[in-house]
Amino acid sequence: MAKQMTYSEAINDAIRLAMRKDENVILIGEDVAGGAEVDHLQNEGAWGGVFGVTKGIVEEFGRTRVLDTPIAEAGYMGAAVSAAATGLRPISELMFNDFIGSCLDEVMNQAAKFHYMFGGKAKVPLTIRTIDGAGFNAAAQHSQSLYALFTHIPGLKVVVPSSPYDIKGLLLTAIFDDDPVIVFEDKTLYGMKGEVGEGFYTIPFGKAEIKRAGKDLTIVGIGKQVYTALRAADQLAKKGFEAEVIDPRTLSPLDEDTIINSVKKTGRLIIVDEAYPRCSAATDIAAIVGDKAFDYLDAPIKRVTAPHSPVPFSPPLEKLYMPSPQKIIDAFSTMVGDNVFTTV
Amino acid sequence: MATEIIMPKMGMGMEEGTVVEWLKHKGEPVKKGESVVSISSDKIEKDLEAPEDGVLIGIEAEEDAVVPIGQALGYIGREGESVRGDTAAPDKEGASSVQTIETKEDRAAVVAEIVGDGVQPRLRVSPAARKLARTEKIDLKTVKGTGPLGRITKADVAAAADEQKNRLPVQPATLIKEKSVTESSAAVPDKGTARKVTGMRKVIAQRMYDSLQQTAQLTLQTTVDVTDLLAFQKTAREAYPIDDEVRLTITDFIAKAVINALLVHKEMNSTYSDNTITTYDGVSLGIAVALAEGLVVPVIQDADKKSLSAISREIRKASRAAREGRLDTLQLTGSTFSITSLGTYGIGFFTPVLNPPEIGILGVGTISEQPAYIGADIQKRSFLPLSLTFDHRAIDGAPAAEFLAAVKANLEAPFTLVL
Repeated sequence: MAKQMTYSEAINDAIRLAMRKDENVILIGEDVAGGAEVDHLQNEGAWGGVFGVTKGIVEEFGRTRVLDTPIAEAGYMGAAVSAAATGLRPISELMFNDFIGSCLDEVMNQAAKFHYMFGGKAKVPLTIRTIDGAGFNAAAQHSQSLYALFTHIPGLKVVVPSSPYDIKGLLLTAIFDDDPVIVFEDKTLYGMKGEVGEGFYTIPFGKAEIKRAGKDLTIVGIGKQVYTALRAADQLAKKGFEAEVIDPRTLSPLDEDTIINSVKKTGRLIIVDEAYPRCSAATDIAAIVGDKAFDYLDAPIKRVTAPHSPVPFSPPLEKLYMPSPQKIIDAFSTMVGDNVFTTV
Repeated sequence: MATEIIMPKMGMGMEEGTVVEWLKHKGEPVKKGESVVSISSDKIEKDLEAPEDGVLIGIEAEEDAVVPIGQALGYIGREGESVRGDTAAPDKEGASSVQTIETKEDRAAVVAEIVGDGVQPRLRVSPAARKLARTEKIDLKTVKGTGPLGRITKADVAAAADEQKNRLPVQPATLIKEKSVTESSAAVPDKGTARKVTGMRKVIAQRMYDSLQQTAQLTLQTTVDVTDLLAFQKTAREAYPIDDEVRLTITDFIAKAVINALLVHKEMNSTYSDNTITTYDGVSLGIAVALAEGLVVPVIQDADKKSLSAISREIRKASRAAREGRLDTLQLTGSTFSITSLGTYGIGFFTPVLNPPEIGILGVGTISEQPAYIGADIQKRSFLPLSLTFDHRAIDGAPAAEFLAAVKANLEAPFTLVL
């Protein structure tokens, strides 16, 4: 049975299911319960995180398992990593992925390394939930998409769910995975509604989803850019070109096979990624395909990304900054011949 | 150790050759010096000889295969020897080819095709198109690219492959089957005889197509009164000592008239390439010669320094060599102007096609007798139609017309040709 749920509700659902299933699962972060040390907020009506995603969880599981922390990322992230290394399955919320600078050592140099450096004897079953994405008029320090930073580091798993169904299944996989996993929740997707399976289910990592089949072009959309890709695909279809749209769902591990097999069929690849263009997921996928599917390429690989610039605060500039269906179509037109599209 | 039989480089411009016929079967013994395989380039057909005694142990390129220079066509080795084992570890002597190959140059030619040699524009091909071309055996130089900047795409190669398949002759087996199924044999449509364009035909096809696609050519026509020339030719022939090599044909006189006109109108004695017009002081005259399977244009070098009889001798020698297929003895490039004649076929005016990078070619028609006014009298006169095609990129109508008028004047005052 499936029911309609928002992306935000699907996360809340997943966390409750995990916490009911395993008492070692705890939630830790800034304001994840809300109202700590505030008398009238101790039992109900607490904030539940900056976007209210974890609202109500403290009421069910109490403040021993839902821990509000001071605004000190290094402190609580370090605590979460240690808790994971010593037997718990913490879900640590980094309010915005932009704040990783304050606790990068805990993630990059501790959590990511333990299993390797202790010869497999240690495990760090830590899930970091964090918020990314532009398009929310949240300016340069609250709008980045930094998943490439973590994809770069061995020992971390990186998840970029694009739908309510996916976030629930992938988050549950993350929580019960024995490695540190960082889950990127795009803040603009929280209100998105979609069908979500009832009860406990997981979605395996490293398994991309083909959102739309096509033979003329492969578009890999990362995170919410899957929808930009789907809109572009609809417009391309009106011109007689069928684009295959792939959602990789996890960047580490990456489902190379699905992407490469698609490119073998279509001969063309566009990667849509709202992150910065240099050393990015888009660049990485382009390199993998250029390397492993060279003989199948019928056109240069194109990346539709943000410019190499911070996210602007001005709403019109931010709109211009983001990938758009038109940018994808423009890229495609340069791949197939400049005269194919004049206007779409 | 197996010895490779390699596609040799048989001329400056040669990049690939076609296997015409294997004269030995696989497994057949061969003696040193014996012809093994017959190959053709754009210009010549040639038999390759076995470099040593042995057995033809492997055939790499089947008949009709188009093979880049330097690539192995087959292998000669001892009986029972395998090709594979030996190519992995060829010994120095054994690896020498039938012909001596400048390996570096050959490799360079192959590389040039792929990455461009700085003069020719790089051939833009998508990786997928290149792969498909390899499996479908499509020559990428014959494929027109429809992608951005003329890039050859997979679809372009697929289309070329389809076209090639459609041109292939119907398999005899299929025909027989069709006949037996169809009650009336008249119902089987005549599908014609298809033949793949290779060797000389391919070069002619490409060059003529390029000529018409890439130059701005047009044709001027004039009629020359050659009554006096014919009389002069008769006298000259009688006066000239009997010589098997010199017959002083009208073509020889026309060649001389053209050379003399070119020396005055040097702008016509030019070539156009890479946006550069190069004008020459000396004349190297191309004479088109029709062959059974195509045509060639042997070149009379330094024609401006040669007498009428010397030119006559050279033209005769060159056309004889061309007709006998001894093209390797001929100079076929470097001409600064060409003459082509359809005079023996009753053709009057026509539009010759430029032989780039030349900017002019003179077409010679058939002489006809017509009445004409000489003063107040009507006389029987002989007229020669001349058609001058020129490249308007390099030269304008007026100077081209002046050149043609000069040729006409030279022919109408034939004694000037021997002065």
